[in-house]
Amino acid sequence: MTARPRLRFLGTVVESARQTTLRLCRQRLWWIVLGSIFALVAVGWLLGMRLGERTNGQSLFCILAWWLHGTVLVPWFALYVGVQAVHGSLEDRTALYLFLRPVGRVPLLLGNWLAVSILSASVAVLGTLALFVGLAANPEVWTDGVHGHVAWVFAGSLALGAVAYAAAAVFFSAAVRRPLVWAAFFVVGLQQLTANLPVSAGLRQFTITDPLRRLVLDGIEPDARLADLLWPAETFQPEKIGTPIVDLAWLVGVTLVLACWFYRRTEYDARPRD
Amino acid sequence: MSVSIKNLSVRYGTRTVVDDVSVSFARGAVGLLGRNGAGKSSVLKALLGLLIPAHGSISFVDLPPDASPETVRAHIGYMPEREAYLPQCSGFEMVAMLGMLSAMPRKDAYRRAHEVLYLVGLEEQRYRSVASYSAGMRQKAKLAAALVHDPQLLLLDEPTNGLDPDGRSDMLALVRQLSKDLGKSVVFSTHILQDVEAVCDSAVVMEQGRVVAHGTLRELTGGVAHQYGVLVDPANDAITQGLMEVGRVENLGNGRYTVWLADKVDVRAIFAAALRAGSVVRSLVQQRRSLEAVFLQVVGQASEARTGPAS
Repeated sequence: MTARPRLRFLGTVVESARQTTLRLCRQRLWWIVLGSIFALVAVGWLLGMRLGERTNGQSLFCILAWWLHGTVLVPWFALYVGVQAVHGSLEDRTALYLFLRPVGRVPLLLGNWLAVSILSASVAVLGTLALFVGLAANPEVWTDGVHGHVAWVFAGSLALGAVAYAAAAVFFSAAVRRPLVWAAFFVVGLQQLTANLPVSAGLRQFTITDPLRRLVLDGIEPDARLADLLWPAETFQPEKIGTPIVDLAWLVGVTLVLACWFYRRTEYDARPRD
Repeated sequence: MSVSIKNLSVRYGTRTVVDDVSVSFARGAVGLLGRNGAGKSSVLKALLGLLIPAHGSISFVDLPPDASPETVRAHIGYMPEREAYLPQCSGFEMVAMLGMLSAMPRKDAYRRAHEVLYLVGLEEQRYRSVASYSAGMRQKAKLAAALVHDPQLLLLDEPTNGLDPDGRSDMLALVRQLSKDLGKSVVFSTHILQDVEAVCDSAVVMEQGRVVAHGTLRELTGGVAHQYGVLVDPANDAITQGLMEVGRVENLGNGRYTVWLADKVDVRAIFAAALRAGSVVRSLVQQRRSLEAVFLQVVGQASEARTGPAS
C-alpha cells in the first residue's frame, strides 16, 4: 500500500485556522460587529461634539478606548467567538468530523485559536480606530492636536489582549462544560478580585487586564489625572508586577498548553449510557 | 484492507464496554451486529484511534504495526452514527474542507468532493446548505465526507438510521456498490439485521461488549441444523413413515414436509425413502435460519450465560 501524504503540524494549524475563519465569518454576528464599529464612530463624534471644551479629546479617547472598548467589547467578543469556534463544534459534534481526519487534535485546536485571535485582534484594532476617527472628527476638542500615536498604542495593546482572551476562550471551551459562564467569572470575578488585592499578592500576572493596562500606560505616558482614571494610583505599582508582554505570553502559553491537554484526552462524543 | 483485533478491551471510567474482543474483519462487507450498547461503536472508535484501549491490540494488514492513529485514519473512512455536519457550509464545501484536512491540495479536494457527491447521489443538492438537507441527504453527505480521501476501509455506524424505505434502499445500494464494485472493505455496524443480509458477506455479533458469534452469513444461518423443505408426489403414509426414519419431520400437508436430518444422515436418504414409498421428490431445498433467528439465539444464550437462565 502506498503511503498517503499527511498534513504536517504547521500545515494543519494553518488549514484549521483557514477553515475556522471561513466558518466564523459566515455567522450573523458580523452584522452586529459592523454595526458596533459604526456605532463607535458615532459615539466618538457625538461625545466630542457634546463635551466640547470641558474635556481633552485625547483623555476622552483614552477613557472610552479603555473602559468601553478594552474592558467590555474586546474581551466579550474574543471570548464569545472563541467559545463558538471550539465549544460550538463540540456541542454540535462538528468536532467529530475533524477528529476523524488524519491530523492531530493539538494543531486543530491551535488553528482554532489562531483564527479567533486574528478575528478578535482585527475587531480590536478596527474598533479602536473607529472610536479615534469619531473623536478626531472634532479636532477642536484635542487641545494638544490630534495624535494618531495614541490610537495605535491602544490598537496594538488591545489586539494583544484579544489574542490572550482568545486563548482563555479556547481553554474554557476545551476544559469545561459551560465555558461562557467560566469566562464571565474570569473576566468579571477574577479580574475584579485581583484588582482589589494588594499588588504583593502576586496574582496580577494571571489576569489579562493588568498587563494590558501597563502596556497602554507605558505607551501613552499619560498625565497624572488620566493615569489615575485608567489605573487608580494606589494600585499602580508596575515595578512590583513585571513586564506586561512577558506576563501575557506566559498566560497565553499556559492556557494553550492546558487547553491542548484537555482537548487531546477528552472523549467528546461519549454516549449517554444508562 | 483487513483488520485484526486481539483481546481488545475498552473502558469508560470503571465500566467495561468492550471486553476481551478478538475478531478479524476481512475484505468485503462485514456486518457488525448487536443491540444498542453492545459495544459496536466503541470498537469502531478504537479502530480509528479515537478511544485508547485499556487492553489488547489492533493491527491493519496493510499498515505497519506501529502506525499512528493519524496514519490509520488516512486509510479509513468513518461515517458516524450521530448527525454531525459543518454548519454554514454547503455539502460541497463541507466535503472539500474535510478533503483539504486530509492533505489533499485544494484543486484535488474540489474535484474529489464533486466525485463523491455525485457517487452518493447529491450532485443536484451539493451547493445547498447542509443544514437544509433532509435526513437521507445528510446521511449521504456523511458518507461522502467519509469517502473524500479515498479510504480502503469504511466504517459505517448505523448508516440507515432515520431513513425512510426509499432512502434506506438507496443507502444499501450505495454500500453494496462500494463493497462489490469499488472494492472497498466495509464494516457495517447496525442493529437492523435485514440490512446486513442485504449487503454483507459475513457478520460479527456482539452482546454486552463481547463477540458472541462470527462467520460468513452462510455459516451463521446454515451451520446448525440440516433442515430441508421437501415436496413429494404422491403424498402418502409410507413416505411420511420413510422420512421419519431419516430424521425429524413436520408434515405441512399436500406433500410438503420439513425434514431435519439426523446426525450423520446424508441428504440422499430422503430420495431413498421416497423411492421405497413409491413417491417422487419434486423439490428439495436446504432451508436456512434467518439471521434474525441466529441473532436472537446467540444473543439470548450470551445474556443467559451472564445473568443465569430466566426463571
